[in-house]
Amino acid sequence: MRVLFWIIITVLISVKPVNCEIIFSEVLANEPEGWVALEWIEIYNDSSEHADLHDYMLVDGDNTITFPEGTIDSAYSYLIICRRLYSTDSGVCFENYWGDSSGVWGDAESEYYAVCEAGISLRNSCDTLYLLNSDSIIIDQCIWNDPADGRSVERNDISDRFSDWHPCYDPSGSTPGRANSACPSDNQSYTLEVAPRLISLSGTSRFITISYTAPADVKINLTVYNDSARKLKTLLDNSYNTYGTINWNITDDNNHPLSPGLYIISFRITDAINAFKSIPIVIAP
Amino acid sequence: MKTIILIILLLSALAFAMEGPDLILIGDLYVPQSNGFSLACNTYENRGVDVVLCNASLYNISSLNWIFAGANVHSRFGSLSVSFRDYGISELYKSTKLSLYLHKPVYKNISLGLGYSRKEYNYGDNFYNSASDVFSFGAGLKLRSISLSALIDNLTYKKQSFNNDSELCFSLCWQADDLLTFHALYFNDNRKHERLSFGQNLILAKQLNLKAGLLTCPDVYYAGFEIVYKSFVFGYTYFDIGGLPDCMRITLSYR
Repeated sequence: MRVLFWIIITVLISVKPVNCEIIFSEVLANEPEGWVALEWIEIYNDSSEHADLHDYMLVDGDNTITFPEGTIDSAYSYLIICRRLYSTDSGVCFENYWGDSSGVWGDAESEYYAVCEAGISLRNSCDTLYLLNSDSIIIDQCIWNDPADGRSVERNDISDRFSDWHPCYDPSGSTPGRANSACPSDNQSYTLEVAPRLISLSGTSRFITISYTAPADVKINLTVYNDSARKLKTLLDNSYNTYGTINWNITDDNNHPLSPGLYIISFRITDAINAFKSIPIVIAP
Repeated sequence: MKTIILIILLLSALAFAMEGPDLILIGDLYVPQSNGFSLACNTYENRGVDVVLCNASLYNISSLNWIFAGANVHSRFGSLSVSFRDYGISELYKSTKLSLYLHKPVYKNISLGLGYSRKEYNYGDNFYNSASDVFSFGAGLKLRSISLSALIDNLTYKKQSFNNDSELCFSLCWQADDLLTFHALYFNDNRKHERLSFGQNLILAKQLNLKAGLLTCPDVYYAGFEIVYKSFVFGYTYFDIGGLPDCMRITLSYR
């Protein structure tokens, strides 16, 4: 019995503790706008020590990717592993999409977080990604299932590697190098701006610009009503496009110009959250 | 809320008050508030004066104001209605309308109506101003407990393309007994938009009237009541509007 006890103690002492502080925090597998080289993985070092990741590995199906030599994730910091950091053929790359397109990462205020390039190739639709430490032990994994175009998946709580994942709620679609987006309440995290609020049919401009942003996974309806609540123009009908700008030429659904009067632009989002905002506008003679 | 209103409509002998074209608050009244043009063949045996004051909360837009005031004089020669409506958003839009409507029995159960309205608009804090004159023509026929009427509204004598929202309306009103009335209306505007309205009114007690109904395009369900105290009537109507926030209207009348 005593021998068995000492064997157990010896085994426990000899086993290196698994480093649980390095975790996936966000993954963008389905690139925005149909690009194919913008995918990236964000990991977070949830400890007060620098982490040397050169022995760590990413496993995605049959692909095993090692981190470049000297890859360091600073304490309590994010590190982005992207497919293409710089562009060699004037194509799109991480630096010119999320940075300032200077060709150098880190020379702008927006480029404050660490980024390294690795040969990742993530499936857009659904996939599982594993993170292995230097002892080839799986310390984290991320599973995504058909994320929207340009929409990352984020960990609910980056201090808990067992926490679930959610589609990014940020209107931009992802939050590389910064805190993950929080699930918005009904009355926040969406915007609706209309300009001008007063337009004249005798003026030179016949367009009203409507800009909006909304969280991910919501249906958006943007509708114009007259002041008797009659629906005149449907600008967005159950759209999943969570941000955009519309130049409305002040006509109704039959392409007839609207009469002078008061109109109401209704912005309604449903599904993941429910919210409503209306802005009155005026068309003058 | 819609369900509740529908259940009330189906299960009870509720209610309707002929709301007329102001059903969705913004529209304008042509005829006495307490009657409506579907009752156009009334002979106005009860001579007197109605005065009504309405205020509404619209679409949860706090800056949007709507106030209506009107007076109706009834005599054996017919009725004359004068109404004023002020509506708009400060510094953005203001619309006022002064209306006259003359309604007169012409032959047995047939009556005719003629309306004139002067509309004035201020846009952008007086930056743009405009005014227009519009006319309304109505005709009614009363057959015992059924009243039929037709109305052509919002006709302009100047064919301004931006102010040509004329509308044709047919209505049928059936007074089941002294307490219960039903109505149905059909609207068709010059843009070929069609609407239907159904409703009922129940005088539950001498001091309490109940009303409810619906309108299509837009889908509006409404329910309300009127409390009568001597010559004063306090009315409240709640409007459930499909695509926009709800509306409420408070009415104070003297009859």
